[in-house]
Amino acid sequence: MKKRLIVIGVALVAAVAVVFLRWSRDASPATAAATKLAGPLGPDSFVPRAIGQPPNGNSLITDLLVVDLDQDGLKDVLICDAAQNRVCWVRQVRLREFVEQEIGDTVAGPAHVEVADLNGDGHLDVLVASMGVIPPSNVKSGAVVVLVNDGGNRFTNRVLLKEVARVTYVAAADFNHDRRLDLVVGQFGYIEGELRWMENRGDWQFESHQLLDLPGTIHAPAVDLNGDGHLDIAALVAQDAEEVHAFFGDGAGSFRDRVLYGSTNKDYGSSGLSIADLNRDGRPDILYTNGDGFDYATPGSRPWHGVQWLENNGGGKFTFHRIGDFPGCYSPVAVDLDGDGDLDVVASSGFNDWADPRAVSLTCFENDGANHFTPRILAHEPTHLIVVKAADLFNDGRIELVTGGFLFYPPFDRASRVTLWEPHQ
Amino acid sequence: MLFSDTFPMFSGRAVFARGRTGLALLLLAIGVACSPVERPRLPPVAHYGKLPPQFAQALEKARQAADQTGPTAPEAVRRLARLYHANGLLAEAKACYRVVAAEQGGLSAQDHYCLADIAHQGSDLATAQAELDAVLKAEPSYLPAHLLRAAALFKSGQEDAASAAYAAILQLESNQPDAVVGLARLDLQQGRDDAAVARLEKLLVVHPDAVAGAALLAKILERRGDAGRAVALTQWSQQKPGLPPADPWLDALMADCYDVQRLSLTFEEYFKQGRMEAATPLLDRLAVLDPTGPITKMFAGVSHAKALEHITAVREYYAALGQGGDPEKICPYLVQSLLAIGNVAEAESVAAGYYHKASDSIPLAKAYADVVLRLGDNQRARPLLEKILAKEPYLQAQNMSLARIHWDSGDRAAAVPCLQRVALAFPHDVASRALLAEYYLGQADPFAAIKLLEPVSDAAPAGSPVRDNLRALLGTGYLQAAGINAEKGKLEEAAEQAAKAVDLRPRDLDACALQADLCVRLKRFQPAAEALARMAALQPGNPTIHLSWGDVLYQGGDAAQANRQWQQAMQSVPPGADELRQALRDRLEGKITPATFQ
Repeated sequence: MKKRLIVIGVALVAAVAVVFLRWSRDASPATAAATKLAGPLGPDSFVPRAIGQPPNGNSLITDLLVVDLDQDGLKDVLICDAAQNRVCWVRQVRLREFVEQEIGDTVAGPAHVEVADLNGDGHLDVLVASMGVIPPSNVKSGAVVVLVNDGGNRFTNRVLLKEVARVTYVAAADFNHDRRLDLVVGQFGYIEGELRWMENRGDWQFESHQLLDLPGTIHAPAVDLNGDGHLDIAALVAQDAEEVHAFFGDGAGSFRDRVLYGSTNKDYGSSGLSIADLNRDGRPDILYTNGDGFDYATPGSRPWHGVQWLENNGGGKFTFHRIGDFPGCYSPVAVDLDGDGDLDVVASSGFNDWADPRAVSLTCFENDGANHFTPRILAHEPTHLIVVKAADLFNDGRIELVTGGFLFYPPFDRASRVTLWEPHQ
Repeated sequence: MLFSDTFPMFSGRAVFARGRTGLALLLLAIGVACSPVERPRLPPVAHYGKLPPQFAQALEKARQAADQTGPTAPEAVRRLARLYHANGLLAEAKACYRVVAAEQGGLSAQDHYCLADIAHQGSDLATAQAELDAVLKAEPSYLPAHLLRAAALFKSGQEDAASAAYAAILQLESNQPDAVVGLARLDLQQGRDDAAVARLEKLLVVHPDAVAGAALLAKILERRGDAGRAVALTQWSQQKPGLPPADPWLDALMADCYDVQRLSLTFEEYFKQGRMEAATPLLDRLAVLDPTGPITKMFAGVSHAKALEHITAVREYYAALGQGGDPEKICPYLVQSLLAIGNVAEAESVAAGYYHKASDSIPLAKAYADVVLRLGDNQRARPLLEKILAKEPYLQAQNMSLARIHWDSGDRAAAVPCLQRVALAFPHDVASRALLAEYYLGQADPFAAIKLLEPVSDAAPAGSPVRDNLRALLGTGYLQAAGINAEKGKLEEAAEQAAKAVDLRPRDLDACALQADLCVRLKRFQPAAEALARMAALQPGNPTIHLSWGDVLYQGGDAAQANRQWQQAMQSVPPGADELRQALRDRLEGKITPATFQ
């Protein structure tokens, strides 16, 4: 009897922990009920302020994630700092007060960060996609690194995959219903790259299964696209392909690849993908941007850069809709920014014509409720914003934005590292 | 009862009401008919600061022409549209085409194609497809339009339609590489890996330079575990430029391009494809737009070098470096031109200088290795080549150079891996295969040599020394193989190989003798007699050949012809060859037993 009580007790604690973890991770800005903004969306809607360490030279923030890492009820910001080859934790130590600290050991060319309790100990571990080198290269410098959380906010590097084509994406999900978190790993590479999923065999042992042998994967989130109860993968494959692929999973570890949409323009510059139910029909849609300017002798924008979404019609069918033009566009985020009950789309610009002070660095495409979008300029500076995330950081029903600066080419006069954008009072 | 009571619709009120409605409709119709139609307009005049002043001048001129009215107006607007399009001003170009569309005559097939290109740049595949349908209705044989349409169908997930579109392209041009690759991708997407492999293998036989096909095949082979060929195909495909089909309508747009970056990229693309006639005008334009820019200078150098004007090329390369151009790109060109004019010392100084500043750079290491090879300094060349090949194992020239160093030093075994890599990555490379075959023949492994030589023995032009050498090597291989098989008692295989050896080396007595011997052992007297006849023709006075020929004829049942050969042999027997004379005498006297021919 006593034993049974202990078991029930442990199970209850575990269940509460899981619910708490899920809550702390899934405080998705897309679903959170946002408070209405004071006025119409525009350059005065948000007030920027730097958080974390000030820039030391040209910042190279490649990705960031808003997450309550220490589960203290205050959301923090995790950043990938490729200038320092570090993952840093910009921790909200008290409401609105942030302190930055490095976590784990160095990670070469960190490009993407996620959290997951990989070892099931109730603490969030930090998953990092390591490119090794950021500029285009065919060197097998990629790795998947997990910064294992001991529960006391100490993180230890553990390498799960190494010496492969440059890794640009990693996320955890249970693809084969064995209650272990597997990984999906995107390897941009350069001329050679691939997409794989890594089956968790337990005890930190992972078995790789190749899904695609094209270079250029940028993002590959796991999501049930066709509503069959099994996780699929939506992958944005840039480089020459410029395609969005769906890998429909059967729940047993097999996937069927289909090109959902692609550009015939090899210079399209696919740059970011996220999942959101943009039309609120209960089916996850795919939001993606094109604005990559890395390839050019003088990095910069192209007239076709912008944002689009693939409307999920069910049954694995999708319809392409252009949302709007935005030079150098990166990092699509669906969020009800104006608090009117529908999802708007926020994006940043990493490769605009920064010599022109009118060049826009942060934009919101405001949804009229019928999925017609109107661009609203949020900011012209700081420039070179390769990543933006949205969340209610202070648990007050208002949406804040966080951006990262990636200073890859001049001018550097309006630079930033990590910026918090608070709604104007 | 009033009529209207029975039929309320015709009541006075109803008639009045209907009359009002009709009147309203009539007025509306008149209003619509008389209202001015909103005609499409040219885009507003604007200044484009990113483009050079020459563009502004061209735009002003084109705009003035387009603003004129009259019968030439549509053509002038069309020219304005192309000017906008060529310089990336896509919205403005579309506005111009709307004006053209509203004019008498409307849009041409080429206009629709330009609109399709604009839509394709913006990934608006539905519009691109509609425009391409219009193009193909007017110009059903314009291949680039077919290819773009098929790609658009594939990329928008319309697999069946894409498959039909690619099949239609193959009707126009069988084995069109892009269409075959497209169909192979569809095969892969539908889980038909074997079909994809078969398509791509066939493509590479017909079009060995189809790099996209090679790259895709490499990926499938890698997944199937054939890592060696996969790596070789991948690296081979990366060393060759893709050769897209000519697209004259889009190429023509470049004449209106003033965007330095686009001109540079297109020049480089044309240059790599060897299309100098298309590349040169772009360079001329670059020279006007950005006369001192490093890219212009570098390309000017490249162009002069192509025309064998290396002294001028060197000057341009130095200017490019002086303007901050990328040494990794420019230095290899500079070194080649310095070597071409025999200035090896300066080439060495330049190459060594840049290499030591960036010793991880493969292009700089290759340039430096070229110089030290020219100096004949194998001591320095060897580690450089080894370092380069450790990073990029399938480079043709570097593998051959290192192989040659090993070969000439007498360490032929060390040359083998280099030669094998070239043979794997470049299946049509004759030199690597010839050297490897020579090595294997020296190792008494004719079978490996034959495997290498058979695919290329007819590759070189007939009558060329290379072809003769390959055929001679292959003949030796067959001969060795026949000998080995004969020793093992595999007479059938040995005879087949001996026959192939004789085909390749018809004047080789040993080959003919072996063939004759094997045929006799297989009791095939007719071909044995033919082989001996060839030998007799090569050495007419040789009595032993005539003796054997007679023996073979006799065993084949032709005693009269056999006698004639023995008699001829008897006439040629040299003095002192008593044993041979006796053997012939016995035969001629009919003293023949089964032991005679053993």
